[in-house]
Amino acid sequence: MSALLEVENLVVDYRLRGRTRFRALKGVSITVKPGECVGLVGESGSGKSTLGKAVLGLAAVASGRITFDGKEITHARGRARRGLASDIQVVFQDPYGSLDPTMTVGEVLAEPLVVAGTSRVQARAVVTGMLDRVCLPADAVHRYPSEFSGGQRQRIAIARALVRRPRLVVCDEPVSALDLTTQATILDLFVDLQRETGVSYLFVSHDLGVVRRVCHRVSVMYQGEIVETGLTRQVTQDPVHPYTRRLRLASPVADPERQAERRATWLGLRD
Amino acid sequence: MTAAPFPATLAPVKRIPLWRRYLRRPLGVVALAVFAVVVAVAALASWLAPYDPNFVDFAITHAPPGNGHPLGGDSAGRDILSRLLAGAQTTLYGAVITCVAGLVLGVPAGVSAGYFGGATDRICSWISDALQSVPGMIVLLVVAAGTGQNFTVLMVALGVFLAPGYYRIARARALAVRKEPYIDAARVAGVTNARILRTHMLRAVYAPIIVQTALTAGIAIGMQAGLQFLGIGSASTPSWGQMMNDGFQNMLTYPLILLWPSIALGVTIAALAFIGSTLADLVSVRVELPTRRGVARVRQALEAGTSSGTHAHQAADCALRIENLRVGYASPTGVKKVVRGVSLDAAPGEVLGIVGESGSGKTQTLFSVLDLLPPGGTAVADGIWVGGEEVSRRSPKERAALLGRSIGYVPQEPMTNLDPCYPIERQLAEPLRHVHGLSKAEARQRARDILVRVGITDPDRVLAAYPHQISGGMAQRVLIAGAVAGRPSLLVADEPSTALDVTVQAEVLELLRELQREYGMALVIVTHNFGVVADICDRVVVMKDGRVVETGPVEQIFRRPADPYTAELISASLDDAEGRDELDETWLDRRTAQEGAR
Repeated sequence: MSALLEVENLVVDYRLRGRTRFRALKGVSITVKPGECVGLVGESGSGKSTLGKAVLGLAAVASGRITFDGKEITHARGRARRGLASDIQVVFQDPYGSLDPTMTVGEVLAEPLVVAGTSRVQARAVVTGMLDRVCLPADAVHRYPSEFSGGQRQRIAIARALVRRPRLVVCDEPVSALDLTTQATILDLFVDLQRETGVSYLFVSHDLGVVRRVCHRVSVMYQGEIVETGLTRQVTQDPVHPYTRRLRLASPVADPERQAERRATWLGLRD
Repeated sequence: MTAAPFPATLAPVKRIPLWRRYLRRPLGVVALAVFAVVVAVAALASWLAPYDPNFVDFAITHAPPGNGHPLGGDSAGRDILSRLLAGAQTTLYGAVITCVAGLVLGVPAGVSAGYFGGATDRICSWISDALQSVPGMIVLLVVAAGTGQNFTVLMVALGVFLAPGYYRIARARALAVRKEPYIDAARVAGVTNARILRTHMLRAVYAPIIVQTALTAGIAIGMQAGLQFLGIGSASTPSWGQMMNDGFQNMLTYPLILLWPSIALGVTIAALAFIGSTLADLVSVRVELPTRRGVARVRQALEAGTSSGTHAHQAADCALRIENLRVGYASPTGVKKVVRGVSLDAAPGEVLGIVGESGSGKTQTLFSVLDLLPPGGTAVADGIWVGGEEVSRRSPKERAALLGRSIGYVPQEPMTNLDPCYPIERQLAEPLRHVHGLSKAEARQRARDILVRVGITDPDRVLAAYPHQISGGMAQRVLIAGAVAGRPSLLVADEPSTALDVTVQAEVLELLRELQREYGMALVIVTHNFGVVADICDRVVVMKDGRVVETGPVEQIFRRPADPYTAELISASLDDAEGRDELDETWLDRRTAQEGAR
């Protein structure tokens, strides 16, 4: 199967004050196949979100190539970038800031359809169907985002991402702001929707547990570079790179005895 | 775990539109009514006026009110009432032109400058600043002379000078909104910049612009009258400013001629100002401070309440003991109870975890101990003991004195809990000087020592740094340093690691554990993560909907949870959940089996 998304040797610089630059990505390569979920893990500042942003066209690329479905999109701007909207979508971390508070849920979900030229009647039908898919009642369309809980808002954000049937969704820490119980149901929703629609995910997260649940393959990022890539099972259970090992041991398990062991091992690695 | 816990229909929410809320403000209603009368009078001026406003009857020159002329006649023998009514028309027409010109120039420029930034912003801001620094009145006089006193052109010119007011507001709002993720989401969804400006941005600036328009209209009317007073505008068009000029010249002999237009002008401008300030009140988010009666009402509603949860230690041995705590907030529909009878305790040297989902009341319980509930919140308890002393009946001042001495507090968001305007040194040393009476040098030394203790390798650099110059993990270390600097007997932490990623979380938990052992403090930690509980806690309190579901030692809670809710929360952790490959295998097997059966 050929790759849907291919990122080769990507370099992204952020301009700090004046002329100084900060190299957020130092030549990163990654591929995502159709119907696949690829995880990107790392601590904050590792560049994982920047990679997602570069794919979405929200961060300027200094060098390297991004190819989507065989076409180069590294520097796609304006009309070309808008043309990609039907193929590449996003779900952000913050369920509070990612929905316009002045728009009803119906308007939020219809916006991507309306700008693509869908008629209002047709858009309404699609929106109702989409709400049903993410397990929200149909009368949500007349309500404002502030009337929903964090988990429900994230469902709305997922519905917005999928409403134009994209082939790739960049998920930027989509569950890290949610309660653990809500996290679990949202992750299951991601998996269900992937099976139903065949969409691919580029799934950015700092939590190996989350990544293990939804990702087929995973890349571990550290200081702007990918230090390890492999099948999720292998990377999460038997990591090779010392950084991945530390990352795995840093996340606490919900079991006092095993956590005591894990902590001891982690402390051993730390020194 | 796949079941979505959502109701089929949502509970109805009462949404009150802005105009309904406006009509509940008496001052706003009066101002609006007055303004409506002015508008109605202006619209119907030609029918209401008893005479032609320009008809000259020398018999009524300087005439006092009466004889069919309710307000008398002016110095040229014209009916004052008729001129006043016709003048209202001119005034409002001018104000509308001015506001429209200001809106059309200021708002799009402001929104674009804020949204695009860079060169657009620099050029627009430069023009706006230039306009504000030019003496407007002189330019307007030149415009008047140059255009043959064309009133409409003059009002447009006035609008240009008032545009920076709109520009500033629109730009500030747009700058704030531009960074919101929903704008990025719209761009990814293929929305053009023009459409983002038209929809998301315009909606964001809408409310403050309405307020600004009410105020601008008042200013415009005042300035317009000023121009007319100076003799600008056609002599055949009656206007309030012109009438005031006439009145001014005869002020000593016939003061009434000046009085009428002055009243009309004053009342109209005042009405607009009050409309503006009422609207500003309504659109700004303000927390209403609770009234004495409101607090009494909440207290009464919280009076009855059964306790939930158990105590594990003798009251005298506890670092913290809470007995039947209730917390409520006054809301328009009654009293909202967020904590409904919570009892718990923690001994010195013990780590107590309070776990629950958002909305379970765990943070509210913690804030009640600190006496730092948000405005409107009232806590009632049968007793709160800190270090063996009952504190719940003490005055707010005495409660505040406990902070930094007996109780240390580590907040959830490290960045928002440091003041961006002061360097770290000041934020650490100031409380030490204030609370413990140390000298400046002593406080600095103590702050430096404690930073070293919390694992900061270059304390001098961190002391001199401002909060934005250090990382989130470092900021949390600084806050922990601040919390333990006063050697408290009780350390409370509200989700101290939730905002941090796992690697930093592990470091922070390790640090808290070390400090707690070293100082023999009791540590009460609020979290929603059972991994954190397993890592650090000795005993656990599980909360749901403001009540304690169960309390017990950590091993017991994990091995034999007494309540099904606890078991559900523990199972939500993803440690032993199936990974994606296993999930896919079972799914594929099931699908093949289904197809085989068919």
